[in-house]
Amino acid sequence: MTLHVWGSIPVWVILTVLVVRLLLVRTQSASVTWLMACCGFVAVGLTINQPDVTTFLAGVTHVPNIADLVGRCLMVCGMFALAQSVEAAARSAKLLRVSRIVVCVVVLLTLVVLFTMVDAPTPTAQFMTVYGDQLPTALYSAVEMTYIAVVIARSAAAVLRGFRSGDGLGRMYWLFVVGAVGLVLLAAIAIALDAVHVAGVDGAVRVLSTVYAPVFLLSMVLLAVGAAGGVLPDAAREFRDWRDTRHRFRSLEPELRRLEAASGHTGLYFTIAWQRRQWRSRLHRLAVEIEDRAREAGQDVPAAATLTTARLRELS
Amino acid sequence: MTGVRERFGARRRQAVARRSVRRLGLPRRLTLPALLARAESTLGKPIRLRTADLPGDLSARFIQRADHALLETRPDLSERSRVACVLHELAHVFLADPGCDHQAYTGLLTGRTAFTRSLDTPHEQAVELVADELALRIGLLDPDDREPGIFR
Repeated sequence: MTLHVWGSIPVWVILTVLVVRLLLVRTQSASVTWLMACCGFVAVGLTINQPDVTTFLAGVTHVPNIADLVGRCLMVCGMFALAQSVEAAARSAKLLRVSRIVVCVVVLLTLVVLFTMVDAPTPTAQFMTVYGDQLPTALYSAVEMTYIAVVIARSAAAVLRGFRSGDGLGRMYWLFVVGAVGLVLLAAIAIALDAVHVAGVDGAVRVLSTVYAPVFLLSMVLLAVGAAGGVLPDAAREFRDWRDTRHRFRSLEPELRRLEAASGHTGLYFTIAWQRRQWRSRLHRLAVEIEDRAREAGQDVPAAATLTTARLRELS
Repeated sequence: MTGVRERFGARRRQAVARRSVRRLGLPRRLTLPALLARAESTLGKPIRLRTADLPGDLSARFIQRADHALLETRPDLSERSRVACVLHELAHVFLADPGCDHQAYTGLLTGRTAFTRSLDTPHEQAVELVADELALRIGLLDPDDREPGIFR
């Protein structure tokens, strides 16, 4: 396995957890949806960089190192998704920010243009090692790494702002910040490596290559664990709530039917084709309609239908 | 076949409600007071919330007067039901409903127009679906221990 494939493993783990959560509970915030997209792009972008895939894609497209370009473009898309994930967490999120989309498209186009300028006739999973001595290759890598560094630094800054404003971010988020610092350092190392490679300073290339691998792996692990620190506890609680709510449906639906018969009125609950992801809305409607029908029938509201939460008291 | 048609119709009604709320251009998250302020701006006058004994099994009503509007809810409602009633009446405001659907109650009102939270017409049911969408926006259905935030 190549270094990048090893680096993709923690990202695949997070992605798997997010997919399982989505399949079961079907609810997630926009921030988690974008994080999922980020993990998907980054995991595939890193995994694609191995000899079998490189050879296969080269054979299919007749472009020898198309896998490297695809991998980098996916990484850029992944970083775009990460920026969206952080943006989506804001109360007044603007997900269709033109400047962000334009920058991403410009970076992608620049990568494609620079890639076409690289003289790389043979497929390889070690693209930078083999062809890194050309100026277009160095610029190609530098553009990608700069974009990654800027996005990840801004994301880490948003997390730090979250700490300062008391957003209730757990300690695990610090790992994300440290991982982000590591990735910015990695970008600096990669750009320096590109420069010395073009300049032909072999000693510096050897030293920087040695540092590159541990910084890359450590950054990926820290970023993944840091992001998981937000996602996983929440996923576990969400699953618990979803399971409890399903029990409530089973016990309260007969109550609503009984009260509808007693009151002679019906509501919307049994007319709505509830989708699985709507379990919270469904529970809300069930509670409200049970109370309505109980009042109309002159009966007490069943205790299990009383859903008072601290959030509800805040709203009131 | 009828079941499929009904399910399809129900999904369509929910989609219409979602679109109605999306068209309001509200922030993805807002508080109930912020939503109320938005409704006041749509209506062009202040809305006063209060509890009042309401006739029959009415759970809420909305009365428009020349310089303000009254949104009344019964005092014996649970907090969840009360907020749901408020959202229902605000949904009427956002949908720019021209008047009262419930002629039976108009004789009881001192105002010019009124809405009530009753689900006895298809329109009232559509309004209720909009209210459920508004409930999502104000976080009424959110769990206690989770604030929205980065990666959450």
